[in-house]
Amino acid sequence: MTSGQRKVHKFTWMLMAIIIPVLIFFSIKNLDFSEKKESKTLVKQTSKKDAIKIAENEQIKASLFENSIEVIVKSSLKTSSTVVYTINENGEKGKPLGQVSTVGIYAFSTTNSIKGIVVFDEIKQTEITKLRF
Amino acid sequence: MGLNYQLVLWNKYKKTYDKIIAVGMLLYIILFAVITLIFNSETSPETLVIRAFGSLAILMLHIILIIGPLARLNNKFLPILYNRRHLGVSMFIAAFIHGGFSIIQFHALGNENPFYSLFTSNMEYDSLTNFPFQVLGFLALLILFVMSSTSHDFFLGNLSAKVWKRMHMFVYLAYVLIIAHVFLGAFQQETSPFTIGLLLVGFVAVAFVHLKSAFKESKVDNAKALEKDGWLEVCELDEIEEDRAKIFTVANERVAIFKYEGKLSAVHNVCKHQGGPLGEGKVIDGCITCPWHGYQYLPGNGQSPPPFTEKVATYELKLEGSTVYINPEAFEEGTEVKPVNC
Repeated sequence: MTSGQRKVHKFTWMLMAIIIPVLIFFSIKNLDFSEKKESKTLVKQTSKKDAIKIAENEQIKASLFENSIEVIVKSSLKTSSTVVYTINENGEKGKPLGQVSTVGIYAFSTTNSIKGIVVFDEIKQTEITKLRF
Repeated sequence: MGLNYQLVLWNKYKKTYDKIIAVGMLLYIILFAVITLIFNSETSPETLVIRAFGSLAILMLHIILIIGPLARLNNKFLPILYNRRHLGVSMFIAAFIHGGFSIIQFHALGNENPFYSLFTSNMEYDSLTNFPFQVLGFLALLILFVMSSTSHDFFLGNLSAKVWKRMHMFVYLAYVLIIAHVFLGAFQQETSPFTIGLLLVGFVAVAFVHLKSAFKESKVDNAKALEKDGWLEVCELDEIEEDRAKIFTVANERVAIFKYEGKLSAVHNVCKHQGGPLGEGKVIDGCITCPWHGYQYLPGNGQSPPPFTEKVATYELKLEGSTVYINPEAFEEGTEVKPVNC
């Protein structure tokens, strides 16, 4: 390399060594690393109990328990990033509960006062389905 | 080094190198599939392909980025630099499979044009964690495509080494885009400390070797030489090994002073092919041979032996006692300079 190219390389990497860690910090600072483990253990506990409320359509079934909600995905949702939210006072997506993917049983901790759930495609930012209790 | 452009100038080293790349890629995909099916058996085949090739491309990009500075820090890594371009093209193929499958699965099943959908399905361009991360991956893929398709010597020869090198430095922009693509995309949903940690270690390793190598090079560039009647003192004669060179900085440019067959000659250190450091090569069959890709130059005039046409600048030397001196004024590229007998 010429001396000019060496300088450009040096300053490029000095810049990247600052920019990338800042980007990484802000992108992960609000992530919850414990959520997934909690969900798996809850599946075993809640599915054997009686649900307080149940709502269902052709794609999903939601069973509300005292401190958790069980979501059964009945058919493939064909979306890459699907997140389940509670329904807020305005009937729109409120607090995020967790992610669902393929057919299966998912459980998330929540209170028994929620009014329903919204299943949301995070990439296309569109609502997939909604269930009210 | 070839006179005519061919798709690939195969030799036994390139064939071995490519076999290692192909087998490595295949093993990674198989291993990834097995681990995924053990720990997450409900993963769909499309998702498996997207994740396997995406992570493979990122791994290969880290290896590609680390090879250059490693070779600058230690000559033992030079053999893996020799055919880095094939690794780059292979990495693009892995990234293309990841991107292609992603666009088909996430954007080609609706009524919209898949590329229009890619840019417009999520319009939260003003948010960091909800940023449309797929756009970042797509832009990185475009850069990798341009780099991969212009990696051949045909483009290097016609664009000039300087322009080609500048263009290929866009790989660093692609790297930033890919890091952002992963952290704002996959890692927002799959919050595994293990995978996040792996990518962090990768970034730290790449940045560390680049910066270490850059500061080492700066030290060489800033070294001051003693001047005597317009000549710069280089070193003692016995500091230069037979058929090897001493690299010396003259007016911010590096010069390689070679000792061979009882003679001394000096040429500009930068190879015309890809900017390789000629002074880290050696004299083979009477020719200075670049350590990167084997381009050759005659020590006395800096010209590639006929029928090749590459030329580098030459310098005048003198020997006083056992001390080597150089005239800092470079001659025109390819100028014959009488070697100094030693």
